[in-house]
Amino acid sequence: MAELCYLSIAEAAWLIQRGELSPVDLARAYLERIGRLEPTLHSYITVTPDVALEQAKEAAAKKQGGPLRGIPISYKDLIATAGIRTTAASRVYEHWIPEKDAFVVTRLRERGVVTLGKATLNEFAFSSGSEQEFITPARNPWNLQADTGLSSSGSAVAVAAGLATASIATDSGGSIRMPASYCGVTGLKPTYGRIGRSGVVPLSYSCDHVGVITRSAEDAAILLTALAGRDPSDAASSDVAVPSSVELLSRNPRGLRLGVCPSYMEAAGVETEVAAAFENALEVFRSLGAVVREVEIPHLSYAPAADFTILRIEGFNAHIRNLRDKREKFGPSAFREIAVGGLLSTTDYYRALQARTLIAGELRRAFETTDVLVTPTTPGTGIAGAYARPPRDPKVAKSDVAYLAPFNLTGSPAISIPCGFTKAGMPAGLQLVGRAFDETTIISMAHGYQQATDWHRRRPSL
Amino acid sequence: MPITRRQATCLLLASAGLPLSSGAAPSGESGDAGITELRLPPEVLAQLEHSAQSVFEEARWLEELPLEGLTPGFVFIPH
Repeated sequence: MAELCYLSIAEAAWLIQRGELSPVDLARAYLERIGRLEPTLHSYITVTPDVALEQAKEAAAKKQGGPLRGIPISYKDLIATAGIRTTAASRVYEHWIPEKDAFVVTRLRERGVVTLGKATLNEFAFSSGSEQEFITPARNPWNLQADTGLSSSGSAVAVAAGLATASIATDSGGSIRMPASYCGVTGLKPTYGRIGRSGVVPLSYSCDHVGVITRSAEDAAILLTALAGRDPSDAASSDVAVPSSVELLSRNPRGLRLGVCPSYMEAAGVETEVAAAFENALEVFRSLGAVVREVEIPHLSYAPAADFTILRIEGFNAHIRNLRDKREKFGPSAFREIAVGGLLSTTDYYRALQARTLIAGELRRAFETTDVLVTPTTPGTGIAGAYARPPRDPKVAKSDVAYLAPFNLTGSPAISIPCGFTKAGMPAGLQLVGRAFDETTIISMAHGYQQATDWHRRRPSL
Repeated sequence: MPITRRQATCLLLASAGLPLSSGAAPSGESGDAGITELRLPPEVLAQLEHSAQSVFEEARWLEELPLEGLTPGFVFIPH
């Protein structure tokens, strides 16, 4: 049964389409595993066995369909699901049962996807995660004491532990890529505007992205093709043409220019074992025919501060009514983290938006001489390790989001993939960042890497 | 004479017996921040501001950037 729960979307789809695997049997295998492991891992706030089995029966009855027919997934619990409680991990929404699906849920339901349940997050995707009151935090399946990364922790844990084939999540400052890195799975944050956000409890209008957590770049491509496209209820949604999953995987790495930014890595720091995994990954890319070169983005170390200044002010304004009227329902950490945005001024906001212009321009110039920017996903792993050299810049030193938040600020597409393990058994992640709306290059590069390595196929002992 | 939000917060911190911060004021303070919308009790506001020093510092870093003449960036115009 465990083998069924570690099939990729592509593998499961192949078996389902040939009639060798029933969507109902697949859903039952997941529900059995969820029942066994959830008391330890807490990757779901709500499991929906009845919904899952009903949808699996519908998928089975259809006999034909695309690659997502009968595929069981979870949704981060700030994505509205009609008839299924959606809490955002907060008592504020403790009893909210939406009448309407979010745009992304509608897209996937139309394609026959099966809903296993709603994945754990930290409150409103922005509490510190250390003062959980309403929900139990998810546990890292590689080491129950290790950090899971915030905020899409349940999504990453479920995919890593074989409790969902994939999960739909959100990322405003690194919330897909960090947990993907800490849990040893693949996390894609597409270009800002690529996937519609209507029906998603907002945090930051200009930093929020919907994306996917999967076990491979190939699965991320399949889901992106299904999810991308114009959402009429999201004014930031794009109508840029959406490549097919075959196109998303088709770019040959040979000759592609990979940009590394050594000055930024010295500023932010990288733990010794993660740095070694990163260097090994660069060698793999070279062996695939890519060219590695250095690039400079002069003010990148200001990007996390700009991203979080924008995020805090927009987050405050997105939640202002609940902060005022339902303050007692917020956990202390969530209230503090979100309300603090109300102490910042319009001058702070304007300055941060100008910083976005400055840094996005510098990134565009870097992309004139490189095709993909490559970084560690995070300086460390879910268990803190040692640094060979102390990081240079206090603005980003040892920051979990140092390599992540810059690309929420610029809206660039980015994917995190596993690239090795530490001696303590924790996965390390590598991030590929592309030009706006060029998911094809980063997903193709990630896919090429995953065909040449097996880090993404490793499983935790459970 | 009206007092600024910062002055009011200092008074509240003092009256709440909480240690004052290192004197850091919110970057770009212009008295227009939205926190007053929440109508928080004085002690809650004081605690919030007390916990916000790293956030203010983060915003202040942006003052170091060469931003003169730059337009604000709302990422991409998707249409």
